Amino acid sequence: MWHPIAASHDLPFRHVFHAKLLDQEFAVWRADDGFVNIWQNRCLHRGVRLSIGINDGQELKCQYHGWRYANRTAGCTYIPAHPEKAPARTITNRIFPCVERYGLIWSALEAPSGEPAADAKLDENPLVLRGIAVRAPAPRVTALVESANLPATIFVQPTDSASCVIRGLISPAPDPAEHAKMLRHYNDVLSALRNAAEQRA
Amino acid sequence: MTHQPCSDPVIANLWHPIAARADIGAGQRHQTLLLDEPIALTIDAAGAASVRREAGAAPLPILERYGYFWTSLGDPPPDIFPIPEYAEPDRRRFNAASVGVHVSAPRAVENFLDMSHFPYVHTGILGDETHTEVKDYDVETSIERDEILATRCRFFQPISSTAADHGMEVDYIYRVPHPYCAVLYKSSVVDEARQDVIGIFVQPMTQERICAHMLICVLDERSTDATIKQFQQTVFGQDRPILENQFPKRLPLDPKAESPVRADKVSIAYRRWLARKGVTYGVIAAAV
Repeated sequence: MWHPIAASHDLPFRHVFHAKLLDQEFAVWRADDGFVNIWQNRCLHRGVRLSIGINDGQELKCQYHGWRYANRTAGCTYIPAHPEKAPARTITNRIFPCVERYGLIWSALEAPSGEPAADAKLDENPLVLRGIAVRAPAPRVTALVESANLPATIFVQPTDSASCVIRGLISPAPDPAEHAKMLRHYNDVLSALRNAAEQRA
Repeated sequence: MTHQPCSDPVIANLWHPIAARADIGAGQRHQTLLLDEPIALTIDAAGAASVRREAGAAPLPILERYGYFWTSLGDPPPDIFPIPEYAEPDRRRFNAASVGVHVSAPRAVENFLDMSHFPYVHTGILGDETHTEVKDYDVETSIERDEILATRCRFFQPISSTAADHGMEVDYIYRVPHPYCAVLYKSSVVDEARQDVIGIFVQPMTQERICAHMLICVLDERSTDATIKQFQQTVFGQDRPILENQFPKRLPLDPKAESPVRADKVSIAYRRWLARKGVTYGVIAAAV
């Protein structure tokens, strides 16, 4: 199934975002053409995290040896140690499925069928809450979220067996004048929920 | 997290560096970790050193070489590898730094042997982005000396050392005389006929955590010790975040696990050498 792994606002101009889903680390970056890439977070050469790399708008450049990988295909385009030689086609990073919707970036380890959050009947442009990282397993946090019965749509992103991220949406978005108050309110509510989940650990 | 004691006899039987003599004063005790085991180095009032697993336990073997104390948890050879240049009286010789890093020992050694990262990690010092090509060099694994030698290595460096005042193409020789230690020889700016010598002696604290001890043995009459140390610490401070972002932390020995190119000849030879020795500590063995 689709899981949110970042918010759209986590991908400012030429940033590389470090995400994690079910033990798999991702390097997430938006190219200048708007395309969002979700890749395995390792350079194929020597295993350095690509989330510390450089997004130049068209390619992602590894910090260690400057290897470059192309937007969309994740194919290696340039190996600076051998500038005259075209990189082998087999040097292509692993790509994960990506959908950007409701102000969130959605992914999965295997391509899921259907659309993200198809049952939630969401407005296309909801108010996106701050992601709250929790040091507690996703099932426990999901149970707490359900019992809190909040007037918000909450997704729990399982990062690994011991931690998760709470990602909330207010749909439809309230009047812009109310946003700051609303964000503050849910920050308090979800932080309290996090504390409760972590204390039980 | 609990650690299993080292079950790798190849590594357990080696000498490993645990501290620089200059960093431990008389009457001091230095506690550290070697191959997952807590050990303590004690210097008595007269300057005599001993190493033990715990107070009162039988002493472990000890050797003092190149300004460092070395010990072993197994049955070590009579001596460690030679560095003849260390005996030359006109050289500046000291420990530039002992730095803890969350990485395996072989990943740190491999980084020390690598030229192609200079333009990206040591930009403006050991390389720049207009000179990225790694020209062909030679690698030889000597059975007789049991070490790897990479020769005819050349790289353009804007500031090759504290004695340099302009960019130049620098000649390098790399030696790997110990699974967790490497020594490099690079053109001296002061004397064309001689080379600066820099060593990295890696103390394996656990399979994924090290203390890297850096030996300086260079020709430079102008710079202070502090300046030379600062240069090396700047360079290593640039490597450290790279090393700590490498995954897996242990070095994969399967040739297909990562994607080497021609510039990585010495790294390929190093991984093969470790595999042939049967090293298992700090590496991921290739599937048989």
